[in-house]
Amino acid sequence: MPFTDQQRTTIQKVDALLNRLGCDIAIGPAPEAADALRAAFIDLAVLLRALGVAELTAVADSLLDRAGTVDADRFSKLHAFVQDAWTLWSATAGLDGVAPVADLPPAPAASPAVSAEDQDLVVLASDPEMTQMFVAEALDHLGTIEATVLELETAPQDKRLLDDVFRPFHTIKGNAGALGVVSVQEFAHHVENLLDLARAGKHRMGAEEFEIVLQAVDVLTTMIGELPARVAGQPPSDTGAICARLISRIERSVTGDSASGSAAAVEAAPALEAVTADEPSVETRQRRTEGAQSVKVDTSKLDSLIDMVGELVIAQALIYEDPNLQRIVDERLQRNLAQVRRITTDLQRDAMSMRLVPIKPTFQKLARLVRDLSKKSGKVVDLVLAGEDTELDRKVIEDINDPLMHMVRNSIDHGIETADARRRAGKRPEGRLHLSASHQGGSVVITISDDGGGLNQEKILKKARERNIVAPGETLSANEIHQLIFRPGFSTAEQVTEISGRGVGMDVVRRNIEALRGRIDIHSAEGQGTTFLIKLPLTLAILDGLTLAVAEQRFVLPTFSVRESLRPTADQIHFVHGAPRMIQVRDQLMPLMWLGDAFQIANAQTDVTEATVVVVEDDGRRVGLVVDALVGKQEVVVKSLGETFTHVVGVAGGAILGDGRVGLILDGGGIISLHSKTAMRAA
Amino acid sequence: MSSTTQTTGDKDRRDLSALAGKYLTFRLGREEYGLPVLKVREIIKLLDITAVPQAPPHVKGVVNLRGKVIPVVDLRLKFALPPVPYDEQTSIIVVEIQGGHAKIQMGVIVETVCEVLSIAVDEIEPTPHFGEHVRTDYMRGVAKVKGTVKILLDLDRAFSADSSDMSQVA
Repeated sequence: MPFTDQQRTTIQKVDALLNRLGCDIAIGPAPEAADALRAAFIDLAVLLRALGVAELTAVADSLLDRAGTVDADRFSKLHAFVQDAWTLWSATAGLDGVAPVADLPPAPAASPAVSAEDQDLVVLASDPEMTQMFVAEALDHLGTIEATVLELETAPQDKRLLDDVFRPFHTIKGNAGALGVVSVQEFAHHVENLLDLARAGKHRMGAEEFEIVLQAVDVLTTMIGELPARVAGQPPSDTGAICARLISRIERSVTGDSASGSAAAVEAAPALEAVTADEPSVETRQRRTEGAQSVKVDTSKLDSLIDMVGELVIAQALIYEDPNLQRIVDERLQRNLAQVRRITTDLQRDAMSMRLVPIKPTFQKLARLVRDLSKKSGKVVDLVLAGEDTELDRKVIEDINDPLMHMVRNSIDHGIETADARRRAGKRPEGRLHLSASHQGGSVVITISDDGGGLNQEKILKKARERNIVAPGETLSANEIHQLIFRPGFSTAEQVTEISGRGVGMDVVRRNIEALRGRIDIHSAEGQGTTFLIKLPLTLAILDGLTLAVAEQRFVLPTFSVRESLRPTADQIHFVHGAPRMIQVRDQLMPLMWLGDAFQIANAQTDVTEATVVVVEDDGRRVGLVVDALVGKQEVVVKSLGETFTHVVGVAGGAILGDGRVGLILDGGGIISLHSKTAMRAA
Repeated sequence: MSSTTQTTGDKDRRDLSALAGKYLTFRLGREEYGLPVLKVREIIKLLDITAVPQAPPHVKGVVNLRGKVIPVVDLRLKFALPPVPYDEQTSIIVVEIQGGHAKIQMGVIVETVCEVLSIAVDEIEPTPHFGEHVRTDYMRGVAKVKGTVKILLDLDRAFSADSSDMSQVA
């Protein structure tokens, strides 16, 4: 029976809906699902009516009437109805069986995909917004699937996890079907078949199956990710061959199973049930509620909101501190002012927290990386994650991703030894990699810890001498030797492997982390492993700083680059070439630097014993920064000075201070390098 | 140098008709200048300026424009006129110019803001030669209105150069 394009689209939507209903119902009655079901049934009834399938429409209508309250009994009825609908639909659509495309021969799967190309875009091209939503949602799902598969790999008996893999797959397939993205729908369908068999206990998920699913996730990510570009007219990348290969692997896995694996599967089936029996779907329910309570917001809107709140805070402070208002002795006015102040502060805190997102997705990506790397390198690595719910600024999370990937690669490639070497060293053959995140004060600490060979001090020192990083005869402490790996162009990897050693080194990692105003430390014991500690600010938008005064100007110095501050006494100051150029703080001597001189500010304090010295530290270097006075400690909202001032050394940005003026935010590292530059010029 | 000025002049002659329109005029000493009003965001009184180190002398620093931090430039210094103390008449014209990556807002300090003028195409002439020592690349032309000469500025050219000025300093 030939269909018009419109009917075909409708059929695909029915397919998707029935699919989804079947899936939801099979998973079990969840009260939260009732609304979604009801909505789906309304759609279904409308679609069926449009197709003119009268018998089914009537049943659907009557079910719809009662779909408001869904109990277990109703679910079984619904289930039966959906089964019927399936059969009838398949017949109507002129396709046979429950799986319309499953009967296609596996190898030439590329050819129907090619002929389906045009169809892929029929619906999408007309609705860019829908495309975007579909792509974003599907990619989200793929992320979830990936993470869950990794979990499932460690607990293949957990039916709940299997459901959690199946469901989003199914949703992707359904949505792709509804939108007419045939290539995605068809491919997803094959994978779903495999998962469905596993859910039914007819097939066991083994290493091969997990591999297939993960690769399928990769392929689907590519296929779906490029949809917007395809709508814009770009050709699709060649995924047909990979799809075909995966499909044939699925077929092999499934058919091979019926011959040899069925006994094992039958035996596995009761175990699956056992896990399902306790706590049917608490987690599922929780996740659904979570989903319902969050809203996706354009990040630019969020940033603008946060800017406005920052303004409000300043405006509020201007009013609160207004001398004329403060002079008014009126209890009610003061109370109201205090109330406004409290609300503004709360508002600011809440607005700031909106930028924070959990680090979980980043960790999940790392989990996948660990899995792939351990496969590739033949080392067995157990990954232990902790504190995945720790929240950080969106921007920080984006920028920390690459350094973390790099460090995990390093740990597996250079840190953790082969199973043989580990046995010889008397360790468990499986390596262990700990990844954790936690809040510590106003910072977030991420640790990457392996139980591998640790840093080889001798080798590092030898390399450093070869490269003239360390002078011959110079002795270094263990910590100083460890720090050497952060030097540019330093790599101790004896051979360049596929995994790492491609020239991007720990120096880049450190630079990236420092660009985020963070810090990285190493602890390593030879033979026992290495731990990297990364300390990052919670957010880049707010900075905790000391306010300094030089003449009329105010500066903000980030507290993380401040060691201490002091009013120096005359005997702490040492003269060089007739000018006070050094200060002794306890037993450490460091150069003095006048901020007023460096920034050419008139009327700055010239008598150092009348001034305040702030000890600024960056990268192990210290200077005593001389300022007129320390005004206070405050949190400021960081603003960029714009491209006009990108070349200014020693200034990291601007902040609007309590009086409405702009204060420059100093950059500790820049200040110190500014000092060495001027010192060189002076010499 | 003179040949490049010549080509600029030729180009200006072709573009003259595009120059007609509304201008905000202001005064620096005895000279009068015009800025296309479409580039002007607002005119504000002189605010507290925070000096930024290592900037060229005409870049006075940054100000807080309702929560935005924007750079301010003293046009007198930019055009190598001797500095004068700021007074009641001193204003900041906030303009939007094309920066290296995106549109940026910038404050321009002028002595006196005069008026908004409609300048017709027949009042506009191409920028004449002033000899080798006078930069004319940021002048789009001159307008003769009611007996006075107004220099029409090309803001994008005059100020986007400030990014490169900065890189020369650093």
